[in-house]
Amino acid sequence: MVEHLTKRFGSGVTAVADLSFSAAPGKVTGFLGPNGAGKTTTLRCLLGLVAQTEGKATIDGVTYREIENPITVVGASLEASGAHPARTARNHLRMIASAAKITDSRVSEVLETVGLTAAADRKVGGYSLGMRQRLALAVALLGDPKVLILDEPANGLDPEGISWLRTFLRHQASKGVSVLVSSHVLSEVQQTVDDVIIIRSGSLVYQGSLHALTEGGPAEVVVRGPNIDQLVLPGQWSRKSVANGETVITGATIEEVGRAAFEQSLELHELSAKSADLEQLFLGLTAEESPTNQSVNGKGGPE
Amino acid sequence: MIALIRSEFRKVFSTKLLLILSLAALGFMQLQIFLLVFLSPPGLEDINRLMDPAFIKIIVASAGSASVFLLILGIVAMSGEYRNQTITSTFLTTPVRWRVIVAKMVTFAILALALSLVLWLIAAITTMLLLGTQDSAPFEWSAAFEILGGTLLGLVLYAILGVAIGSLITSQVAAIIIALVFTFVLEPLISLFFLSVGKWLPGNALNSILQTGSGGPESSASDLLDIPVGVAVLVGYTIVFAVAAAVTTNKRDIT
Repeated sequence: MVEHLTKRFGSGVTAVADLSFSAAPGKVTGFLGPNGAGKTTTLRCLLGLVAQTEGKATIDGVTYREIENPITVVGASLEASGAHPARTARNHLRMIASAAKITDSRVSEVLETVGLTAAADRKVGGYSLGMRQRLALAVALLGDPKVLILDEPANGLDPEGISWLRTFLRHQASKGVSVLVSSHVLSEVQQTVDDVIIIRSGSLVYQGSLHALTEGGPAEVVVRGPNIDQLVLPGQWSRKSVANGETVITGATIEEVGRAAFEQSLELHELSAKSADLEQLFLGLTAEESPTNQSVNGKGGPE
Repeated sequence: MIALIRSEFRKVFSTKLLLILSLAALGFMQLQIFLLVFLSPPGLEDINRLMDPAFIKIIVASAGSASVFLLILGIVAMSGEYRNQTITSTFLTTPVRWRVIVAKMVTFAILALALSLVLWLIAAITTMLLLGTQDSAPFEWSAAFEILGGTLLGLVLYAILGVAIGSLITSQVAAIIIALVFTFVLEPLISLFFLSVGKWLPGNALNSILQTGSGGPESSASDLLDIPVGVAVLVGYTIVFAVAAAVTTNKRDIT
């Protein structure tokens, strides 16, 4: 839960501006926005690593720094959480485990879970980006937490790795773990998340279910016919594209477009509704000076 | 706290840092002992300093030259967490940050204690063996024992000071350069021209504890602070730096 969070860095940069959202327990929530939107800063405020200028960021009603032995409650993997290159993955996990009074057998368990057992005694310096991501997930899982906060876990993963990550997230969710996962690429998390929080320039642009986001988007109507370019459109409609006798019209329903074509006696070969493409919608929402912003902004989520 | 110290020990022993700096400290110390035994300082060629028991004590006190290595050990261990970004996992695991700093200080104090004991013993034995080959006053273990306490205390405080400096200046390169420039340039320079000021600096407070001189040509231990005052000054520096480290670390944004 994040309330009116604002973070201004000393350099005068406002990374997060009056941001409020909440992630539902027991769900996978995608935390989306383009690079530089303030995702990482927000997550770091939530985890007590960065002190916010104003506002509050809490997990189950308390701040991270108030939690006793926090990694047993909240597991986190952050982009810039490194490991000493000369240390092995097992030693990296062991040093964290001992500080949190977690047994070494749990270290072996999480290495197995993320598929690093074979490489566990190799130095992290020789790891690929994908292996480092798995190690970061192993760190997050170490305390068997009921909340997972993952910052760009798909970054640097190959398609196989992304597929593995999806399975991993779904498995965690099925165990009742609440997951907040950030990404700048919607498609990475699209198949896994229940809800999405979308931010741009440190401010919220959308919070709610992925499904509601699609419905709220602008509908498009595809019409095709030999003389369709002669179709006269009423003021609020707009012709998005014209090619090979096919026109895409926005701002109108399929019935309205059909009636207009009928009234103007135009021959039609196709009349179909096209639901908004999620990726396009996401890009539209997060682009600077986005015109679609207003139509979706403020549409509350289930909570 | 025990768990955190255990974690710190695991951190130290999973990299080669301690081994490398210990060997460097040992090599530097042995070099200094050889030079002190076999070379007379300029202008004092016609006096056999080795006949002076006080000078023999200064040779054994070469163990104190490990101070700069323990300072760097502390600096590298702490600033290395920022450099390798392990500080994120460390503070996620232990969000009450001063506890991490205290655990690290305790860990390096223990390591420094063990290392300085070993170095003191090697220094004493080396001095004893080398003096056996020279025309000198007899080696006395009692003299070596007189500086044991000072060596242990001084080196432990320097290791703690290193951790504090590594928390204050998190850029590893900057922290090491500042520490070295201060130790080898600024402090000797101030001591040379203004010993009345210089004797209050950490390096000379350490020298007073080790009962060596300030290193200047006509220097002797009597120019420096009395041992209890030297201890108080060095402990004071350590406490001030440690508190400053805890306060600044608590406020720092980990990005």
